[in-house]
Amino acid sequence: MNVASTDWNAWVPIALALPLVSFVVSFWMGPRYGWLVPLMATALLLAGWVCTTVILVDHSAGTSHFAVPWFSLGTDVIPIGWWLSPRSVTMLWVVYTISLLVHVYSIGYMAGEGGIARYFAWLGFFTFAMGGLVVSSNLLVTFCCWELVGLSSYRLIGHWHQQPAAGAAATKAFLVNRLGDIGLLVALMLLWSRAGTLDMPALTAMALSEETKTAVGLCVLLALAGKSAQFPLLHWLPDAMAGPTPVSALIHAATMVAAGVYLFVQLHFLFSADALAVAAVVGLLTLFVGGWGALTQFDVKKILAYSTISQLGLMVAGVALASPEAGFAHLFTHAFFKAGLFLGAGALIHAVSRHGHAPQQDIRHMGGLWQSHRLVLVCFAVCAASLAGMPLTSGFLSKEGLLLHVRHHSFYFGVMATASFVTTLYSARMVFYLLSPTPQAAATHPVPAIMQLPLFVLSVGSLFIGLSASPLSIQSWWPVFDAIESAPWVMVVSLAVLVVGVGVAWRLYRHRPTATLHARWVPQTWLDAAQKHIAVTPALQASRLTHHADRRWLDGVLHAASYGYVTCSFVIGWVDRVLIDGWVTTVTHAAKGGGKLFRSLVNGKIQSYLAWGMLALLSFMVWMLYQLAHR
Amino acid sequence: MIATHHIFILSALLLSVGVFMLLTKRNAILILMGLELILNAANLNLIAFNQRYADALAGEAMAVFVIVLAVCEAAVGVAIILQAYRHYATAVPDQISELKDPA
Amino acid sequence: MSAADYFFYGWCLVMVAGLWAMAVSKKLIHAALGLLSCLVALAGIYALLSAELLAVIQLMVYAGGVLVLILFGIMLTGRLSDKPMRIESRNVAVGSVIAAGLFITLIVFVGPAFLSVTSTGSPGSLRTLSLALFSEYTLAFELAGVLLLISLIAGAVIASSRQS
Repeated sequence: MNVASTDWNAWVPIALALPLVSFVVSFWMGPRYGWLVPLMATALLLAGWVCTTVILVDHSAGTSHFAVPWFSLGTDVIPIGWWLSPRSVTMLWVVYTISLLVHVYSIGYMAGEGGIARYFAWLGFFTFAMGGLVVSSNLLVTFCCWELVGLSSYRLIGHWHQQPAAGAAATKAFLVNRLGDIGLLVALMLLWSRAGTLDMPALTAMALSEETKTAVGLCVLLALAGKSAQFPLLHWLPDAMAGPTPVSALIHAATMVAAGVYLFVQLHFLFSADALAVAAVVGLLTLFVGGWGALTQFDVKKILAYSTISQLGLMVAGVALASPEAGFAHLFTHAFFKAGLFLGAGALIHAVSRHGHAPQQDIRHMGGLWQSHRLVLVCFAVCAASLAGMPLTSGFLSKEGLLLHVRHHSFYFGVMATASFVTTLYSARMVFYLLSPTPQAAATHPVPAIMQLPLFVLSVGSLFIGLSASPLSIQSWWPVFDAIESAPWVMVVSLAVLVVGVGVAWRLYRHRPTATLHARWVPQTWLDAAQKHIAVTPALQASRLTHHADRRWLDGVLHAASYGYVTCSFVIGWVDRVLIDGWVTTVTHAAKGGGKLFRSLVNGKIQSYLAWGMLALLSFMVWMLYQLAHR
Repeated sequence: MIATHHIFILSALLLSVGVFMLLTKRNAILILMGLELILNAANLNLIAFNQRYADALAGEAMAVFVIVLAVCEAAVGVAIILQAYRHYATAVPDQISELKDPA
Repeated sequence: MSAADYFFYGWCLVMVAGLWAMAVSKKLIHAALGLLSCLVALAGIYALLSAELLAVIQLMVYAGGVLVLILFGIMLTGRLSDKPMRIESRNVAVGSVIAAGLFITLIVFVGPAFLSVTSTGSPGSLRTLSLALFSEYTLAFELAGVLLLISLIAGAVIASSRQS
């Protein structure tokens, strides 16, 4: 197998190394120069972002593949390297861009917080791992990075480890993600056994059987369900909001959760039609569960988390039903507007929260900020509009691309249109609450400029110019997104859905109803209940059963064994005492007796010595003379 | 002439009685006497066997030296016995047990 | 049997009697007398073997010197005890067995070598032996004299009552 491919590009390792340097140096500098860490980490990431921009410009058209042998198992060589395609360099650039903006934002947001060095170190580590995941050409390396992003996610969710909720959420996210990782691991094993390689360029050129593709596809689907919070494994994401808001923006909205979708896009060629159908069903289910969840919440971060789940479901369904490029386009636009929404939400929370108190995240208590925080609210509203799919935004274009692809399947088209309606509904609901002029009781804090700048950049990116030169169709300057023939009736339908959605929201939420839904209507409740019934309770029962069996049977066997052992010990002890010790005692007695005997010879009487001497002389004489006489 | 082997038997008898006294008598003087008997047995043999060699005098000369040695031994031995007697008030070696390991 | 043989066996009888007295007598003085008879008989046998010088030395040194020394020893060691100079034996059986074994071993294994040997007569007259002692064995003779002197001095020193 030819693993060496020598399209060396020095920018890639430099871009990947800089966040890693930030990780190491942050930990190193943390104890003594804590104030310097945010600036240093941001500067390093800025340098990394420049590198990724260079890579993006270089590789906007062609692909390049570089690999060197990493290690070998027998005759099989596992290579390590990168595979730069327009898609992967775009994703890399998105990761670094969002990460850079989050770094800048965090300088202001995390000011005065504890553990800043740790925070920036893990942000850098996450950026490195995510970059490696994106550009890696080998699925094994991808898997390693996949685990590393999970690790940094765990560390960052639990950043405020003094709060029990944060620790529990981190553990939950970690465990649920591991469940998905089993899928990826099994998929890798299948590929290794069937295809004999984990190298993505080699895999693209390989023709695998439908069965293999179905199996691999379902396993990858499980993996992305864990990472991207798809239907059965989605309940960890709302809990993950216990982490700092910039982390939610970077990891749990824009990049890491999108890694599952990205992997789906990258490995789309490995999915059979059946697997794609399953993925579409999972995606659509997630889309509705997420949308429903967003409608039931009042916590702004939870709303955004459910919205993320919903949008990820839309992406998965889009990749499965439409095309990878269409799904990836939505991933791209989502990264910007969702990161913008989170950063905006973070800024609003920052504005209304008082130091020393739990952050105020309830949208019912966050109104009345229009006078003091106009720019933040405008940026937030632009991002929300993009989420809802308003014209002139990037979200409108990417959603349009998805709808165009499925316009010939009336069922899927109808489902997606309905989902767009739900999205519009909860986006409008959130914005109505936040824009309402209700006076804010508590004193508000100004939002520093360093937090407003990334927000502004992201909201500009959420406009149509972030994706396309034209506000009506994807005439992209991103070569990765294919241009699509626009169909006017699709646009009419989506506009109609938008108008209806905003109208219904206006009717329902204009007066800011404060009634909370009964807990049974909140998806979190029954998802947790399902988790409890499907996973936790059987696990507990199984452990109870095994405990019982353990005590009943294993302990019985152990007791029998120990009784037998004790009996054997007694027997051995008896043998030891009587036979072996007896033998030893006999030897000692014999020695003692011999000693006594010989001692009695040495009785201090000259004549007895003499007698023995004479006896010896006599014996010797007899023996010698006998020899002489019979010679 | 006197049969040599009769003299040998006689000297063997002297030796045996000397050894017997050495082993059984408790009085140091008698032990000393046993020693004299053993030396005399040797002397008798030396002289008797010298008869076989007409022009050799080694045996008789040796006998002279043996007698000298016997005198020395008797003199020193009696002196030691006297001194020990003076010291321990006994002439029985068994009762002089200063060097003996206490049992 | 010549006259010399009769004399020889006569001396033998005297010697055996003396040996018997030494071996079994209960009194120290009897043992001393037995020793005297043994020594005198030996002197006679030496004379019969025509070793006149040795016979004279035997009489003078042994019977006259050593025996007197021993008698003095008997007298000096017996003076503290009130009981008569009775002597007892012990381990008679062991001593008898060893002595008898020695005797029998010598007779059985060594004795037969002398069965056919007869004495060739008198090699050493007084003159030749004296000449040999003062010529061939001068060194040994002088050393024996020195040894005798040392032992006599040693005996006198050891026996002296003066404590060092």
